[in-house]
Amino acid sequence: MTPFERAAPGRAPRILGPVLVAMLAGLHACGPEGSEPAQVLLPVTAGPDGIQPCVNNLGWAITLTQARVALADLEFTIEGETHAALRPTSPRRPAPWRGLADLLVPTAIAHPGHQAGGQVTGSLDGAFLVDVIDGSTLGTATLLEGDYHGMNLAFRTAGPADGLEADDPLIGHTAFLAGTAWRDGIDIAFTAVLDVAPGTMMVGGPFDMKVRPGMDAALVLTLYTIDPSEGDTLFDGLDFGALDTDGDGSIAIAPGPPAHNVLAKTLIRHDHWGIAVHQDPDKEAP
Amino acid sequence: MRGGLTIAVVVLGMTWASHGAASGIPGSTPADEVGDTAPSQPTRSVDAVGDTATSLPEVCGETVIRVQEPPLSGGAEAIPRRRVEAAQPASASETMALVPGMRIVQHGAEGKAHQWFLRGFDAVHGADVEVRLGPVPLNERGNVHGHGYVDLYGIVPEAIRAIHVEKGPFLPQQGDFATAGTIRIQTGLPDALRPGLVRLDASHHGRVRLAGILAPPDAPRDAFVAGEVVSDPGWGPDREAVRGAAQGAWSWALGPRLRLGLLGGGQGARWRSPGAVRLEDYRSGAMGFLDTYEAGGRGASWRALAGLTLERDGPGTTFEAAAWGGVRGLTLDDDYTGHLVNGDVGDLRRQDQTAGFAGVSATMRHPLPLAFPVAFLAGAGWRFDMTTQSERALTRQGAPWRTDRDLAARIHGLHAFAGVRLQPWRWLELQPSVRGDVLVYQVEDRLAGRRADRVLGTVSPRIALAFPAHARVTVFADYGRGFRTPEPRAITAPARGSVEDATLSTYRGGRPIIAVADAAEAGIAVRLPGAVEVRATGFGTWIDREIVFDHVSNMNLEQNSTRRLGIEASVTASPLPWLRLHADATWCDARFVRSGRPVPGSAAWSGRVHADLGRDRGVHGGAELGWSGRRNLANGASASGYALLDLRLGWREDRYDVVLAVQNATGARAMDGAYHYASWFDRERTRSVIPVIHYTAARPTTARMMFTVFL
Repeated sequence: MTPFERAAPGRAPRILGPVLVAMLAGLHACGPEGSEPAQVLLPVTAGPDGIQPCVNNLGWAITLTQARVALADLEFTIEGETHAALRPTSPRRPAPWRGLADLLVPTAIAHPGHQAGGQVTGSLDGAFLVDVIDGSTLGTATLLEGDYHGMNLAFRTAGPADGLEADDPLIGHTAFLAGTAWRDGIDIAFTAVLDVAPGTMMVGGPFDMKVRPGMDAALVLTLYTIDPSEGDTLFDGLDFGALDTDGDGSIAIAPGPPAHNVLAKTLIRHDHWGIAVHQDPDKEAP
Repeated sequence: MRGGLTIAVVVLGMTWASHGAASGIPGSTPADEVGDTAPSQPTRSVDAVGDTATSLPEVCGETVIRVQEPPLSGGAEAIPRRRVEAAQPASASETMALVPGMRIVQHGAEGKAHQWFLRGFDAVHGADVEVRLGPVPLNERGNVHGHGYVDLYGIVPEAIRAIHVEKGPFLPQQGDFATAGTIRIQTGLPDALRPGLVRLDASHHGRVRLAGILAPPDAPRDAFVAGEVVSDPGWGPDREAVRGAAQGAWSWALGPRLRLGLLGGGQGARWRSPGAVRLEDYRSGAMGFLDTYEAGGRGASWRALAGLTLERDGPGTTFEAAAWGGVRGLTLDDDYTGHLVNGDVGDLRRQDQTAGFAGVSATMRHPLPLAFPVAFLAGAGWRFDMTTQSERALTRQGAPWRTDRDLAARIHGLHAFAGVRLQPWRWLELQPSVRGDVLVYQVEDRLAGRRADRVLGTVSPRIALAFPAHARVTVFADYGRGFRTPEPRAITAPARGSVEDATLSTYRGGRPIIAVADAAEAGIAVRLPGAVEVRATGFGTWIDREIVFDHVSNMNLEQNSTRRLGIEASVTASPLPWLRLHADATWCDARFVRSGRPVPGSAAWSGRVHADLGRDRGVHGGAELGWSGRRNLANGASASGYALLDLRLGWREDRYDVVLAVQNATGARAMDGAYHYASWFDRERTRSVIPVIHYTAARPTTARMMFTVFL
């Protein structure tokens, strides 16, 4: 008699008992489990990719020679399933028909910060003193697999813990910039010490990258002197000539006067921050 | 027979119920009365759509006799009282688990509404499932915790006569939030249980529930008074609850075919909420399965409502008019993210709401004198909701330190629909209809100092077809457009493109648009000898602009187009006088069209198997196995499925019934809810904004003893 044959009329087959026991045991054994998306580790540095001479809206040609900023906690965001109508338009995407279309219906060119912001699925936590001219190594970011379109960061105040010399002008402040401005034959050397309230977030800097397991790439935190989307500059609104009240050809912008506030407000905008991706085409994601 | 009706009557099955006048909803499948017996042999009749179709039902013991009007959609079902009784729900909110294809999740504690999943929708707390108590809509427009929030704790389970389910938006009376379907709860007490009962329900965890329902034998069919009180120390930490509810209804004959009805109820609840636990904390042994972070979650709610109905029933033109109103309050403290957002002070927040609501509606059905059965259907209504809502960040001591929302809103909703139900041939019955809705929002954002008014509207065409190919076989084909209104705070949201350097949380509430869902289904119902009914339905839903509310992060996001395709099947049988069986299974593939990624929260598979044994007297028992397949979460994560087995054994005599029930009999450690987001509870670990899986625990093994005295 096989286990499936009835032993006698009206009696359950022998297999029934073990099956029931196995089912109940199986139900009990069903413990909570989850499957997390793959995590990808990518190195993050800061570099001069976005530093270039620029002419601000008042006609001053500016060359930046120093730029150090105290930052914290980088976040990387995916747009997820944000509706296409709300999704930012990539300024780099060629669109030959856009010229005509924009004449009819002007399109607002937007970073993620204009409408998205996105969901944070990657980060590099910590406090960083970033030198965007000479370059800095920030660390290794952890990102979940996904299509990234934006990044956020926080500003903070630099201090001795950042390894600064006691007389470093950045101590107690957020950013230090230095460079030259030229217009109509007038050269002005400038420095700027900027204060940003600690914890202030820059949200929505562009970061376009498909992150996949096994890929080999480096992320470069970039300060753009020229907004790659809209063409405005980091120094718009600054009349260097007017700031050089003593006419000695040098100015020092410090916290307090309007020039500081103009520059600080521009510095924290998403227009001037982003992530450049350095990727070996031969080592793209499998 | 009462009323001297001389009509062709049938013994109702589980689903083949008329949509008579008491429901006041022309075209609705399940009617006001559903037998407490297992499926029998319903028949279709041309008379069903004729004048006699609206005759008064008659209650004979536990069997309801009335003329039936067959359903027109494949997803229509009625859950009879016997099924509700057999499931021994701890609350009316738990009865939603009986809806085939519905998965419910309690991520708070008793008193807070369940989260619902139906046909691939994460309906959150009701955003995609319209729920009505008789004629009164229960979805709350502008609830602070989630648009469409449905609180069923004001309904006493013993007073539920039937739960009528209309999946999909295929009938004209289905209104706001009916993107996945409509559930209508019918209350009352069958003759066989009159004059009533008192029930004491105690669990080994210390939960005690006392409930009762009264309806004098000579009282009107819909008359009853019911109440319940619950004290629950919780089956785990931070799950205490105390609540109570009372409700009642009565009606008076104003004429031979005209009745005036009154209904009312009140409820109150206080509870603590456990919040969610990081799965990695449980799996590493840092947390027990039922442990909590003691994050301070708690809530309180109250509601009072009253309504009047006026029904004209019987042959000829029928109608039902209803007017209702009430007040509502809800306070929720919760913290799902620890210290992630606010650091030292913590992320505890308080959502607070006070609301008032009122409405009137009328539906009518008028037979037309044509060569074949035709009835004209029409309806109209007005609904008004006013709410003040706020959201504040709290310290751990409960002191508010930041206000994130302070809103006042008034919403007027007007609707009208018209259609015809006709049967030009015996093998075809159809109901084309069109519905129009206009919403008027007046919103004041006190925090931003903005006021905004907006008028929105939508037109929803629908058609339902039934092909009664054989006396035992009916084929269905339906199309309909459902919709979901925006929540009030969307009205005052910044205009598109006007805000920079802000996270998506700035856009809470999404855009102020009506989200529409186009749905279609095709199904078949087969009734076999031996009181066996087999149903299978294939369905699809397409939404151009998905709006997903993540109540954990409290964001409402407008997302890409989605589509949901699925099949649901059920078998109901009563092969022996003492055996009733039901099994259903649903497969659904819910995905974003552009990316092909699954819609978070949806599980491909879910189902339920139920066996109810015993006669009306003597020993009885039952078993229920509910299961869910693997669930897709945000960002490509997924959570394991689960299966929960409930058992019961009882003895019933004329005057009493004793039941021992064991819920989660196998002691399965199941994740009731599963979510993917970032949190930071353990401050000794490094803060991380990267999302991880969180869960809320399902009930552990619970023994309950229920003692019922029949008065």
